[in-house]
Amino acid sequence: MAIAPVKRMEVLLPKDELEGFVSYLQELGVAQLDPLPYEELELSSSPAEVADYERWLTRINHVIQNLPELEPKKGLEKLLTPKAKYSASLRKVLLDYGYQKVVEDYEELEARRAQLVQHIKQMEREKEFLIPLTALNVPLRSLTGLNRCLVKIAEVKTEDIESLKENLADQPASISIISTEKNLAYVLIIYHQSLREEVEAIFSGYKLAFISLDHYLLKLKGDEKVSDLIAELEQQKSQAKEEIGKLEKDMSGFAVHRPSLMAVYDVLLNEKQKLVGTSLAGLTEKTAWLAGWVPAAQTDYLVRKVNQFSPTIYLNLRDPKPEERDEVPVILDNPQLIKPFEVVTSLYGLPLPGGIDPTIFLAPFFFVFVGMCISEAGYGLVMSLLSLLYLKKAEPKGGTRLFMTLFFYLGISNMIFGTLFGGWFGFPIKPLVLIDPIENPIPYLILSLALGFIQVMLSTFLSLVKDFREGNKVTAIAVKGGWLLLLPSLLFYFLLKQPPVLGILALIGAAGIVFFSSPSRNILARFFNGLYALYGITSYFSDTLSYSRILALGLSTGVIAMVVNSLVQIAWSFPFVGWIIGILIFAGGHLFNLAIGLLGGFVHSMRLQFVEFFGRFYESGGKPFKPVKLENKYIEFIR
Amino acid sequence: MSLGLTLAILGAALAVFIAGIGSATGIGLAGQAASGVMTEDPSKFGIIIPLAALPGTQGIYGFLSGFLVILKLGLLGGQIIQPTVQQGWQIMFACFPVAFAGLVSGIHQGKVCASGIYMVAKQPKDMTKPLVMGALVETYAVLGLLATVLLLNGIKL
Repeated sequence: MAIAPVKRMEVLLPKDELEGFVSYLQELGVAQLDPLPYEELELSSSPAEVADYERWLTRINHVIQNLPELEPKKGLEKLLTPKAKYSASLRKVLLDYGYQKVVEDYEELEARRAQLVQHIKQMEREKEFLIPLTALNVPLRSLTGLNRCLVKIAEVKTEDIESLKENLADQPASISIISTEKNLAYVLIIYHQSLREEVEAIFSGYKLAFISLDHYLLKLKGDEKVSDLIAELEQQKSQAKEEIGKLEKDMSGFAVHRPSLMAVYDVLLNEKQKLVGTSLAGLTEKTAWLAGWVPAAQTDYLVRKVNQFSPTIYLNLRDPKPEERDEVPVILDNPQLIKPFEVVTSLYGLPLPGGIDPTIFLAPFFFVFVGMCISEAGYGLVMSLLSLLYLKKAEPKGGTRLFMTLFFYLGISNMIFGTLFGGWFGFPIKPLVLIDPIENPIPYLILSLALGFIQVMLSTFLSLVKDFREGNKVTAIAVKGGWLLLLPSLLFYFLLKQPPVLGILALIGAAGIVFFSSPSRNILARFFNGLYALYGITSYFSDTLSYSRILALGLSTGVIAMVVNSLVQIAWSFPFVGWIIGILIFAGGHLFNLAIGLLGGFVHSMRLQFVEFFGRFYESGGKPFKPVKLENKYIEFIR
Repeated sequence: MSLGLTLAILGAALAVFIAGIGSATGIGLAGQAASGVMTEDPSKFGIIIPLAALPGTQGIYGFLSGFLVILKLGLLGGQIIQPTVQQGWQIMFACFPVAFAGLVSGIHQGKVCASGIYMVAKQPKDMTKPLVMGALVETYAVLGLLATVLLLNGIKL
């Protein structure tokens, strides 16, 4: 128990059945495939050519993300909607949907829209450029093609205009202001070609920015003025906007394809995964060799299913060889009730194959600690109801399901311990309260430390088991057993008026630690190293004291809940609106307290497991079991 | 108002605002990191918010201790208790652990959480590990709170 046994799977099959077989394994979802030492076995392997699939997946995903939903759902309702279900055997049929055409058509519309948006921006820039020149109330054509004169439009600083005018006064030139705006002026300058150089020399004395209208002059049809150009731009712009509106309507018409595209996406995703699986096979000219792992509990099922699938597949299942031990994937296997607590273990890291699965040991402590850290029954009720609602409505699978179930449990824990040590939304049910930590913190502290001491002792016992299994049998029993004897005896020796029996037991335990801690042959070295090992008692002491946080955290939630309620009481006495403010403070305050309390309670209970409990015995580093199976992002495949 | 009551109120005020400074600084540090990460990827808001909120607990512990003093003095209505000068000093000193442990641990927890946020930015799956790192720092704020609560509980008015 605890860590499920795993069998090595070896499969030989005709090469042309390989793809079908991997696809079938995906449907079964019980076997993990591993790469082989191809060169050593003189096998060839084919790289997975998944680029094409990946390109399509990105394109489809883009369309899905941009399409509106057929029946738009909001927030909570969206969260609580389960994924659409499709039969796994329909996978091939879904691909006949012609998704390529849909995606391409959509992308075409999108590209056209992007072009129009770009065009509109361009026209807006042009308009901005032309607006200062609106006052130029002559046909643009009249500015060109003059025989003797040159016409320039320029931007000048307003402060320079007067001196420019003066300088040009004795030249055959005319300057007139078209418009001014802040400290810039637009001017029209006409001068005679014969004195071009003189005039332009004057220009160079000022920072003139010449504006070229050549672009428009080329396109002139008749006697348009600048205002006509702007009007035309406006008209083009509104046409473009209209077209965008039409395009967007067409694009939202694609929403009908959304559910199918979601299904196609998941099918393609699995086709890609299939290729990845197929590429793990070692190949000869006509056969393929696959290897991997299957949970021992699933072997009969797998053998039966494979025999049904094809008679030409050779399947061998055996126990892992010693040299393969590091490769064995780890599957935690706990009773249904304990299973959600695997979340906590996995967060730290899975145990090594052949190690101890700590889940069953930490589960009761974690359950109690979270309850005692938050100790608010009302919040527990809210947590349980919300997680139950999510579990029932959204039907999550895998990790999310375990996590939500864990939350459901923690809610129950809070209802129990909240009633005993706290209240319901800050209101204690007096006859049911065992200890009120606000009035009476000392008994609650003692309870926290006692639970902590029990867990520290359990971790010492588990480290004894671990050492014993690893072969240092005598040391394990003498040293770890010594601690197990010494610490409780010492504790009760001081609690129970110092009975001599306990004193003797404590000394025996201490002797075990002193004489067996060091492997040295030298008696003296052994003795003094042993004395030093006895100093390790401080770590037991500090670990146990660390559990006092349960009191502090339990108190904080309870007191804040009380504060919220007294604020509500104050608000309630306001005239007329008092009750509204009261309800708002009640809801908001308790929600805030729930969030902060849950964060603190969860994280600190987890820390107690990871640091105080795991420290003595637990080694993580196991590889998780990753079977080839039907992955899903948007939909769910069922048998 | 007697000197004893004044000292006790000073204690409550110190607990709230010194621990509050710690939390405010800590959340400030973590919040900057969080906003920085979210400019790259706004979808990380959900997994970053617990990390940014974690240094907030010190302020809550300080507030909670202040509230316990207020309860003890009967300032919330009813008969106001008049502690002696010595009791006033006692209450004030009892508020010190939560105030100063909260101040320093809040700032440092903010730093730990800020780097935790950068870690989550690169490895969103490992979000609980930085949380546990933050909880390591918070231990000392919790112990400060614990000492304050036990000390306050020990002072009989």
